[in-house]
Amino acid sequence: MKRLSTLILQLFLYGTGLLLTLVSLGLRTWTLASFALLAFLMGYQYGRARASAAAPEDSRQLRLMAYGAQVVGMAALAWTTQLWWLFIPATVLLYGGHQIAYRTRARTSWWVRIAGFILLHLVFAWMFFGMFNGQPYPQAQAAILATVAVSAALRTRMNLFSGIGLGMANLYVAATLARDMSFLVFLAVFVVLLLAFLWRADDEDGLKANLRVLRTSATARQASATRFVPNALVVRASAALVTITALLFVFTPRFAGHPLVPPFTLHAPIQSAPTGQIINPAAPLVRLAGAVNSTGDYYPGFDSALDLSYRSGLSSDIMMYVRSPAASYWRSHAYDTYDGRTWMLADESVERIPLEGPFYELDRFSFRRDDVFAQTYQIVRPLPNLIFTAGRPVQLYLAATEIARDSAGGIRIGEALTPNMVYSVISAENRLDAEVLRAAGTTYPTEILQRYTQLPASVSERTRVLAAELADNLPTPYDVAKAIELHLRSNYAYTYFPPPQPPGSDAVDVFLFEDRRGMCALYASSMAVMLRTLGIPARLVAGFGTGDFNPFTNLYEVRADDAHAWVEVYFPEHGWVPFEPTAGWNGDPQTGGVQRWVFTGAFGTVDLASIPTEQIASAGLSILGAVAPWLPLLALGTLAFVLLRRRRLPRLHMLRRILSWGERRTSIDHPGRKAILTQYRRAQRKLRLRRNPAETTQEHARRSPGVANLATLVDIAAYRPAPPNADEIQQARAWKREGR
Amino acid sequence: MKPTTKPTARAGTLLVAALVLYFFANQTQVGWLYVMAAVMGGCVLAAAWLNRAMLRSVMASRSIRLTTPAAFPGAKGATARIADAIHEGDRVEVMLRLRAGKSTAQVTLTEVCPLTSDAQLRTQALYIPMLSRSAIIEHSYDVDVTQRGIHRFDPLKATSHAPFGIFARQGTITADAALLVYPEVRPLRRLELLDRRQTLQQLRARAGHGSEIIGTRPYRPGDSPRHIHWRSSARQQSLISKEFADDAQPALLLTLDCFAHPYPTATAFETSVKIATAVGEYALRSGYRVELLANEHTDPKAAHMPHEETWHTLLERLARVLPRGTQHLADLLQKPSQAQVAAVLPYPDLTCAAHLSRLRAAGIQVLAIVVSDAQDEDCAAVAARLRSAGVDTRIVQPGDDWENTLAASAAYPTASKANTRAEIAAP
Repeated sequence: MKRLSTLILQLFLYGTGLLLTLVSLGLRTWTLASFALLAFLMGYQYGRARASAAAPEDSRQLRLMAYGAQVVGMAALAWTTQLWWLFIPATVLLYGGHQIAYRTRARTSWWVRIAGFILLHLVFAWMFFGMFNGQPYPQAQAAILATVAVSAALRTRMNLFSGIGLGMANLYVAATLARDMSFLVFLAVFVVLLLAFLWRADDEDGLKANLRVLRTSATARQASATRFVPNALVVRASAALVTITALLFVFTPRFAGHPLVPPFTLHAPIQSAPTGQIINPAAPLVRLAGAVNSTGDYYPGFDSALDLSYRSGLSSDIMMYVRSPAASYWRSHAYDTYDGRTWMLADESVERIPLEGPFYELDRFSFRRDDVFAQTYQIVRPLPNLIFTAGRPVQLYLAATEIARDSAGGIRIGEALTPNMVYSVISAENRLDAEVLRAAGTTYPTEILQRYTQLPASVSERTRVLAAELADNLPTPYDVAKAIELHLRSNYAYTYFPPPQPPGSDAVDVFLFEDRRGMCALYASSMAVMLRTLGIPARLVAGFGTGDFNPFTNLYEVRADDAHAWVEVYFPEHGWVPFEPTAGWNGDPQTGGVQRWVFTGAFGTVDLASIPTEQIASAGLSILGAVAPWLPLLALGTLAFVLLRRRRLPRLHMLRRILSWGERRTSIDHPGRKAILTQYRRAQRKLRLRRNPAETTQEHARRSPGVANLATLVDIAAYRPAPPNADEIQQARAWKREGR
Repeated sequence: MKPTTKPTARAGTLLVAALVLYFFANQTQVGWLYVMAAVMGGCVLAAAWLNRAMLRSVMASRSIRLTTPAAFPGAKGATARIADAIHEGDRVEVMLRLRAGKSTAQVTLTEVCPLTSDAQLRTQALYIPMLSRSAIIEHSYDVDVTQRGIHRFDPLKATSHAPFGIFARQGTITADAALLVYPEVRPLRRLELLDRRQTLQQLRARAGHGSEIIGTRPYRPGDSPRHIHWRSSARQQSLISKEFADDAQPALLLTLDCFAHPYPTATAFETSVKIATAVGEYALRSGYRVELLANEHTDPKAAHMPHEETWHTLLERLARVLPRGTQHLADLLQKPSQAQVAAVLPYPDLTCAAHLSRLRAAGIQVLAIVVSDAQDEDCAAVAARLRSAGVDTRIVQPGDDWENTLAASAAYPTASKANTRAEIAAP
């Protein structure tokens, strides 16, 4: 019969599922329906749990595997967050918790439960304290500490399953923070331990439930041992698991619409007020306009003015990770004014945007939930005080007291972006196809026309002629833009270090007709200028290119050399549309549609062969490298464990007991037997005459007549099938009184 | 039985975990969460696929060997124990041989042994933690066979949760075997019905009654001089008589009532079979020709012709008979050619008793053995009816020491003393 508490919880889960179903039907939100399904499944599962799972778990192997799985989860988290100072004591404490759980497994220990309850609350208190106090990864700390806090209560198999669940929770947190392939190593070890646990648990059930256990005969075992034959079932299971997992991973649809749980930021809030000034922490103190054969993190486009005469290479260091379901250029800001050498923003004023609830509303238009997608930016190296976005940004989740929008639509904050800062942006998809843009017409608003067709006197005649030639007979501005884009992409070479710009010359003229090579800003400037000569509004935009997508982490790895400049052209009623004139770059800078399948975006652009093997191998090696200093210690520990288990060091009783999970030489469950043996141990201590391991109790009694009576009782307690009766227990206890 | 696969609670747990992870993966767009969800789902699917192959690869065979035969005191000569035959009470060894085919298996088997009523041995749960590819596991156990008949071993019921206990596959593994168990033989010390006739026969001077010479034997006083085999006598320097085939060998009609009576009891019928075996064995041992009449056919139109039985065929038939006949025994007892009839009645049937009485009235010596679970009124009435007709009637209860009951002398006038209905009427 079911326990009342089980029934109540099951009914509660079913009720929740029903309620969520009704709400999801009312709101027509599939995410809520999935929650409802989850509640139903959990209720069903809770009712199906076998009674044997609630019995005390005696298997030390299972406990060791559960412990291992928990440690792997914590290690993954420690590896990701570098919380080693917490991980190492946590593993020791976790071991102690399992010790207590194993010793008290026979019945529920209320003080263990109460202690676990208090500890768990202290852990959450610590997490909130850490969140408001700038502690590193307070949630990760909480995940590790919570695993330890409840470990003493893991006495049944169901509890051990829950313990593994906590290990998986650690792994989950590590997964959200992992940015490279090293996580796969931890995940693989965890899965192996989980499956080993399940396998062994099934085996234990089989051994317990059946009277007869049939094993292969010794002869057959010897015959098969003569050659190494890997266990066929293990090989098949591994192959099947890897294959099916890979297929599921590739063929699982992804729903990356507006998340039900809104994103949030965790870093300490930015207090400074934003200004029109762009602060670039990577900017060198001295910026030479001539050729500089150096590479670094500084991109001149992330500045208040983009100096086209500046020459510098860019490193391959990862600047930020972007988690986005749609590939995009990560746009930061735009320039409207060109003076022949630099681009700048004529109007440096900024518009303050108020914080509305948990987010900043960037664009007030009504959108459908399915038309937007969330991006999360994780900053790795210092970046300017610009907010990078994809598509048409709608909402910004950022821990800042104030943000502002510049006159060209770029978002500014009061301080430069610092490493470990995380912010999220909800953007609308604004992908426009060619026919729509061709039909847009040329009825430009006056202010747009005035501001974005400005040209300096330095623009040469041959530039205008080239633009006119390229636009000859083309019916729409879109066709003109595409023609100029194609011309630039086809006829000019890309280099970080074009020749220095001659003094007094026009950068675009020199690029188009003298040097015929240059960096992205020169390509973009040329296109923008040529379009402006034709009366088409255009501007130069800066930001980052898409970067490399890792399908396993689902992160775009954006490097310093992905810093980029491109062009935006204005189309009436549609706004600014990006174009990519730079040779060698992705030809379509528009934000792509949300990828529903991993292979639609990932494997189309990424070299499959280069992703998993090398990265996994290097990740494994790097983990091995980190672990290597501990290996001698581990070897010594293992040796000590084996020796103590074999009782080669007879005097270290306590240590041996700790290492043997509290298991005694004989498993004694009867309280009477236990009382007599405890009394015997006390007597030995009191008389200071311990029994040698090789001695029988009677031999010991001859040497120590004080325990003679007790020795007989010990024999009864240890060897007689019937447990000692009340008189015998009383006799043993009486010895205590006499001893005193 | 077609194998079936059912998911366990673990499958549900892992799927819930996969769904939760998938949900959060969609919420957070964390790629590793998609991987974790795929791993959880992959565990379930891989387990389902591997579990399906778990029972398919296991092959089993079964062999049965007689280890300790039950003692046969007194049975010898024509009714000696047949080599390798298994009787009730024998101890046999059942050997189960299991072998994994192409892949490794982990399986729980349920072996149901039909040979014994011992609950522990009758249903055995056997667990094989690992049966490696091409490895062999042998499991043998001894059982005391308690029941005659044809015993067929059912296929082994097999369950496998491997790997990981995520799915439970149930099915059967063929290891068919059948065993014919002969009834227990309890040789009788004496049986008045047959002993009387034998005594008469032993007094005859001639060695055999027929005309066909089947052998020679030393001369006995009283042998006819015509039957001396002179050539052999000359050769052996002593008189040797010819021995003739016993063409007029006395015959016994052994009848066993197998009618499907409305209230049959298995115990009474089994005791009846044992008694029939004992009587048949005694008759064959005593030189009688035995014909068995058992109304065992379920087809009401089937002809029941008594056949002369050897010891082997008698055991074969008595091992197989079941109380499910559709024709009444009385209908078959019309005009027996034998001078002696032994009727074993597991049910007190008055109609049958009337027919036996009629046979007795016709001068045939009849022994009626009524087997009854309890001394009820029906039994008493049948016994009274038979006895009043002069039929030697023995009432036996299952569990009784019925050998002594049969060996005892009749306590009332029998055919040897009174052959007429008038004499029978005065007990």
